[in-house]
Amino acid sequence: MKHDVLSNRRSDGRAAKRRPTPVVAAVLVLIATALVAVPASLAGCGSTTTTTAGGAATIAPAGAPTTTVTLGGEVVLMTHDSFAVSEGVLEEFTAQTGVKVRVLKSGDAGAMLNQAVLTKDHPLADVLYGVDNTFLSRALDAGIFEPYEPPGLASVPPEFQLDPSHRAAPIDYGDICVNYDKAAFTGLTKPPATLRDLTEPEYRSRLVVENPATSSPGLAFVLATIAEFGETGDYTWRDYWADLVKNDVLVVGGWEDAYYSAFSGGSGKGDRPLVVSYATSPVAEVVYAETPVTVAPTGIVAEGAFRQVEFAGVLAGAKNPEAARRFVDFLLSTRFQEDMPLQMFVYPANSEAAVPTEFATYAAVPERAAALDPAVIGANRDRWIEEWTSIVLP
Amino acid sequence: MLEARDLTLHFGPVTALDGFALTVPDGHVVSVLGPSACGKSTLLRVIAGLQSIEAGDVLWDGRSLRDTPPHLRGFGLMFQDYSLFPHKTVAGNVAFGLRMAGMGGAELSGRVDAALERVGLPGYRERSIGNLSGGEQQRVALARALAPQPRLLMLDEPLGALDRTLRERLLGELRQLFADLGITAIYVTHDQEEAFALSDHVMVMRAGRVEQEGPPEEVWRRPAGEWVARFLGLANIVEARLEGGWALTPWGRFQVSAVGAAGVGVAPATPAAVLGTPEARVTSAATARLVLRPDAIGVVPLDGAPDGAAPGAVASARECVAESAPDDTPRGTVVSRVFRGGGYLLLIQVDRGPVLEAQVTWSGVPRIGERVGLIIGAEGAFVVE
Amino acid sequence: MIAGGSAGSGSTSWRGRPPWGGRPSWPRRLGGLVLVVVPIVYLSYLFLYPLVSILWLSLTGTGRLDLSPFWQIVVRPSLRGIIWFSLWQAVVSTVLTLVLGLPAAYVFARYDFPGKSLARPMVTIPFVLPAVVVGSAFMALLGPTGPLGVDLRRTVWAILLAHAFYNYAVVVRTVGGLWAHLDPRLEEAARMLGAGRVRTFREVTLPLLRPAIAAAASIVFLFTFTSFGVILILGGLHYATIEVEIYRQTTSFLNLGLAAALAVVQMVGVTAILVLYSQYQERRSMELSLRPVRETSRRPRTRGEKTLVAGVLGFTAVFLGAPLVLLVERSFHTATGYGLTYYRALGSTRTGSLFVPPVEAIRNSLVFAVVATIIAVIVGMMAAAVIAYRSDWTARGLDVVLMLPLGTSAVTIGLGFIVALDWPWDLRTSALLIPLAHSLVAIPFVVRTSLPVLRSVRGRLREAAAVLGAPPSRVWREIDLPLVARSVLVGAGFAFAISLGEFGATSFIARPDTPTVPVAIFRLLGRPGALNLGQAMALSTILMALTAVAIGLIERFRLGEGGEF
Repeated sequence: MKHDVLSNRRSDGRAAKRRPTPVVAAVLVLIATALVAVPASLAGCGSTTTTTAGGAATIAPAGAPTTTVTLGGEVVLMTHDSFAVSEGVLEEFTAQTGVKVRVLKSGDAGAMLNQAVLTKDHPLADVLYGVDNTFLSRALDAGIFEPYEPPGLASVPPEFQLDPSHRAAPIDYGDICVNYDKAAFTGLTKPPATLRDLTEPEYRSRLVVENPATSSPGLAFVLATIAEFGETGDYTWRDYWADLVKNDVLVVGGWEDAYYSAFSGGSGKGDRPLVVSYATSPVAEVVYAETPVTVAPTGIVAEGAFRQVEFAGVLAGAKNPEAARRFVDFLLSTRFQEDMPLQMFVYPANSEAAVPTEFATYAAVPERAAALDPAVIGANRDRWIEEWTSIVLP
Repeated sequence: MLEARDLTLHFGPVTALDGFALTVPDGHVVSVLGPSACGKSTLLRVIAGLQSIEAGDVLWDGRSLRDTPPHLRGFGLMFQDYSLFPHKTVAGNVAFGLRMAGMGGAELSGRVDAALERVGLPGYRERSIGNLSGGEQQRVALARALAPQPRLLMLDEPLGALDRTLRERLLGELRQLFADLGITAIYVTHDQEEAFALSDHVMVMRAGRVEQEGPPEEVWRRPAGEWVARFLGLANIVEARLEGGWALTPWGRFQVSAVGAAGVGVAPATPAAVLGTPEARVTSAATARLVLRPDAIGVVPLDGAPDGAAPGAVASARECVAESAPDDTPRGTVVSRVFRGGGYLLLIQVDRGPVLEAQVTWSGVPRIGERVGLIIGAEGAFVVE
Repeated sequence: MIAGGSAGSGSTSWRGRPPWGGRPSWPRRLGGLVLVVVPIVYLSYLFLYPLVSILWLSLTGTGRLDLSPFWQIVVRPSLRGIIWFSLWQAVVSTVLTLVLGLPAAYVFARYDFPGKSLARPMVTIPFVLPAVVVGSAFMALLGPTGPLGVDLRRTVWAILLAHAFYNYAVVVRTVGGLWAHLDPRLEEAARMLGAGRVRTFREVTLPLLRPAIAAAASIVFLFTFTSFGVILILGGLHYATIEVEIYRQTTSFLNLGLAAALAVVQMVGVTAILVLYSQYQERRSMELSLRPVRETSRRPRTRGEKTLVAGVLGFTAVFLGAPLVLLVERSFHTATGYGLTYYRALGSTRTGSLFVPPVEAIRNSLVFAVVATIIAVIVGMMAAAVIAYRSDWTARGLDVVLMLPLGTSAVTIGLGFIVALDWPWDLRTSALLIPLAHSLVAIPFVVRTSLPVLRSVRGRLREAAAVLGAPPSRVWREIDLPLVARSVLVGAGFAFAISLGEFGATSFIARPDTPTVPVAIFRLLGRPGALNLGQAMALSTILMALTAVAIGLIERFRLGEGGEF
């Protein structure tokens, strides 16, 4: 019905006036696509269903000598965005085995796990590395792993071997704890020594924590408080958090925001001297300082740390399972384990791997770190987060 | 009364207005006539206040409008391409000015209807602009400009896009409308017919300045200079050397009774020329020009009667001056003959002179190649600078 | 799915005037068919198919279709509150952005000033920046020690201002684009009829600008409704949009069912707005006579005009510039004074945060952006042609569907890619997926910025060209294309900027290790250390510079003869 301004005549208007509305059109298209595409994709062209379903499955005998047969092809490693490794390390694996390594970075740990679970019938990769103990039970229940017991497990302390059926192997561990800005505590106020101290008036408005629903260190800290104060008794973890709220704790969404924008120590530009971070953060401050420093600008509160263990496993239905197993071995080998600390700022699970001197000098390993059974975490995690939310964010 | 003094404006190297001056008394219609890009539209925009000037001033009833913004001047402007609001209906467009003046309700509605009636579009209220023909749009634009009863109405080539019959009719209607309303108006056009028909005072504009102004008949009869003559469509212009009481031209010798100087605002030349013998050619460059009106030339066939006419008759747009051509008339050959509806346009190659145009009636017209003699009446020839 | 009968057959579906004249012959019918089919197939495969797949999978997780999550949304007050918050903050953000951006749109459209060709790309820079980076800059500015002196961090105001900051360019470019072509004589006519400046604006300019304002408003609404990073970082914990909640449910609780239900609710809301918008545009669009920009813009002359231009530009510079300047300053401010330490560190992998030097990330980003922009312009122009020249439900359906990616949960789509795109080719881990995903968000921009202009092109001009002997494709090339070239360029510029700034869905897929700049920035920020923070700032500055240069270049590139007609 649009007519040219100068025209002396009408042009043909729209012929049909009555047509189905666009909403109906869009829905029709959606339904059509769904009916056509979804069954086709779920039929899974070329997907292979695997044997593992959480029950007994073949386990490679422990202690069997690793063969030195060179395989060809490629192994695909699926991991989270924080994965880092020095140049040349993965090439060594290729030199040893003839297998090329392709890395898929898949977002944060939660997103990565979702992708693995959703594609378990047609996995994206051969090896999954980066599931931590807070997610482990979910991963195991979903049955994404194939059991494999790498020989390197012999060197791993038993407290890290959290999966008796060997579907996931521990690769590294780290501690989440409160970091403090040394510069803020030079006067009379001493940095807090325990979790309970954080509720004292002298630390009012000084602490920033992350939301457990959106941040892994945030969740770890909440778990630490649950482990410390328990669910029942005179003073439960809920009471603790209520006290923290009264003490004006600041809660933010993610670690980057907490550390860089709210924390005042080291490279942080905020104004609060206490933050929930990693026990190795002070080391990173030294290593990544612009001008060399001899003393770390931040310190940790040794009490109330939570131990986080990261696992790797062979994905069920992987295209190259043999290469995948070799790669898991490699992850536990001293070469990789000794490279990890300065790349990812975690400690090696392999007790035979040496820890770099920077760690020894600047990092302190909390003597007593809390740990909760992954199955317990898996069962209660959602409820705990909900309860935390209702206490802290009314 | 509108007065514009000494308006000067340049757009970079281009001169848009060069000391232009203009006066429009109340109730009069002044037309500004000129070719494209002579500055006519700019002139209107300056008077409207849409364009600022470098020098000069615009006054209404003696008071300067320099500090008055366009929407407070109380002038109406009808744009060349109408500029109707596409998102409003006809009524919405026409009512716009009235709404700005604070009118509302029944009074507004009544005025809108009256305006539409006056331009001959009753019942067009709810039509959308996109559906209108060119003529209808022109009328709506006119109604819109007239509805708020502006103290000065400016029209920028309003009839340009219309076909001939419509134009003729609207011309008549506009004239009637102006008379009925006693409106003060400036009418800008490149078409002399419109300018002469609608106004009491014509200003011929060229490159930002006034070339000639005066009543329409004046301007038409006695163009002030060669340029104006050419602009008005008088193509028969040749050099003339003035000696004694004679103008010597390639078309012959003409007796001249008076010579005037061309120029702005001065009475143009009113010579009466009488035919002389086609003798000496004009050899030196003369400052004067001889202009012959095409419709004042009598064309007499020399080789016997043209078809369909009585022997000895003269083909001419006017009453015949003589029954036969005296011996000392200029002679020539017809080289072109075009029928124009009202008559014929002949191009005649004069012996030892340039081609001239003659407009003749449509009977007894010589054919191409025929020899003719030319009789030029006193009214039809004059000398200009 | 496609309109009954082939496109271009007869003249009814093409509004009586197909973009080419003449009798429909089979190459022309084929052309018409291609125009309709390509965008539909593209969107269906890349968007609808993954979306439906993931939603289906999520809601049938326990073996059969479980719609109880929808009931949960109705019943739980926290979820209802989230939906309400998403809605009202989007509306307020949209209004705020319009109010702040329209004066700038006016100044850019109607005035010439020194540095104008530089200023235009600069306005688009905020679009590119990852939320993490903007968040830290805003935190600094809005803190108690910032210039405002009031602590606005983690309040709604921080969110609203950040939204306005991000989407400013959308208003300025989209509305300004049409405004620059409006015939100033219409405004002059209004003034002659007694309307002062304000009334002229209200009665004449604003109604004529409505198509572009509605287009800009719809985009801004979509972006703010589905806002994620800004809310997480600047909103503190009390504010969550539906998208944030979807993210939480997916990655933290692994509750895909509830996430899917929320995604559906979000899409329903988005679709409703889009349908309303589409109806509105159909009813309101009219042919305007468009003037070349040369004619409509001029230098400010009066003191009032000069003050206005200076004031608006000044505000824009401060509002957009303050966070950006802060970032740039931080990238140069090393422990030893101002220097290039961080930039030099970018060339190496000493810090080991990435496999490859961040410089390679820049190359990857540029390559992906170019590919994504090309795809977006081609598919987008096809879609725009269909929508502008057809008036049937194919066109309107397309109009709604192509806007949907802007309003659909990025998490959901990302997972949808993983679930669906292994058939017929396994695109799930391919680098190609990234520009394809970017194009999904970029296409609506190309369409939205060119549609108001395309709809306004006078049919008579096209007919004149056809009569002069131009075959159909040439009519398009010689008449429509130059007229809309400018808006296509604006759309392409947005597409490029969006791709550089990374569409959210690609954060949730398994990417082969070809990091782009935003990913690199995010990883650098993922660990402590002054070097890491500094490098992140340096990369952000480079990202801003890249955007400015790229958009500046795109604008200068002339399509056909003469860029502005």
